[in-house]
Amino acid sequence: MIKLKLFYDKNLKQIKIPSVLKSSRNRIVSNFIFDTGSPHTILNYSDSLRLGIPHVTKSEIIRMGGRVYQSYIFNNFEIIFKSPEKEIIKEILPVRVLKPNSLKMERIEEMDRFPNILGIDFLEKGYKFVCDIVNEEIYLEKEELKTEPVNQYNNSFKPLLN
Amino acid sequence: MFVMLSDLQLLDYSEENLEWFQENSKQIQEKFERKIIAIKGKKIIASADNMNLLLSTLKKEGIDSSEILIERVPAKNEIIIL
Repeated sequence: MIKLKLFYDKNLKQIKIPSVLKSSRNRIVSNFIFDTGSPHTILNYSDSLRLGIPHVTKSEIIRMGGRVYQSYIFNNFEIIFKSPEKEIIKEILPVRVLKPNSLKMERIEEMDRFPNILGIDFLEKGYKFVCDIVNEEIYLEKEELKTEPVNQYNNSFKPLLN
Repeated sequence: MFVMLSDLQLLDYSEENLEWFQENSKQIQEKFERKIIAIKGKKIIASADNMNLLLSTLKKEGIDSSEILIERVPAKNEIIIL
């Protein structure tokens, strides 16, 4: 069983998970806020620039914080986590970047305020979300896929000739 | 000499820094509200009003920002609802 520990900030009332983010160009340390209210995983605009992610493939219009943003999708995105047993867990999933509709400083600063969001699409990778806030037992877990060794002479094999 | 940390080392440091930030977020918020802060070795090594300024400060100091935990500190009377 793969297990990922989530960290609860009692003051800010946010559930976060530390991660390493990788694109084909760069690698950065960051963290995600886990948000089951978000259908998609969203990458902060500044982090997307640090990773050298191109904003070319338009995706949905996203409404957030009373404003409407054009999102850009990037498919080849790797998120790396670690388990409490110090195992590395890598997931590849599409991320969306919300781009400011103006490059004015106040609009970019506003985008800086948006955190990275780990959305429902991450749970669709097979993770179960366990959340006991009072006892601070918050984690994601997933069954490890075990591949059977390939055996061409297994029991289901029926020879044509006896 | 530049030593590139492994993913596991980066995650270990990042987790330590995140835990430190969360344990001290109230005091940090008092001093750094509305700022973006850079945390390394359980210390705030830089802060700025926006990410661009923070990254250029780190660059001037010769610090590789890719290995630093960057946190956004909300204002004291501000709640983030996504």
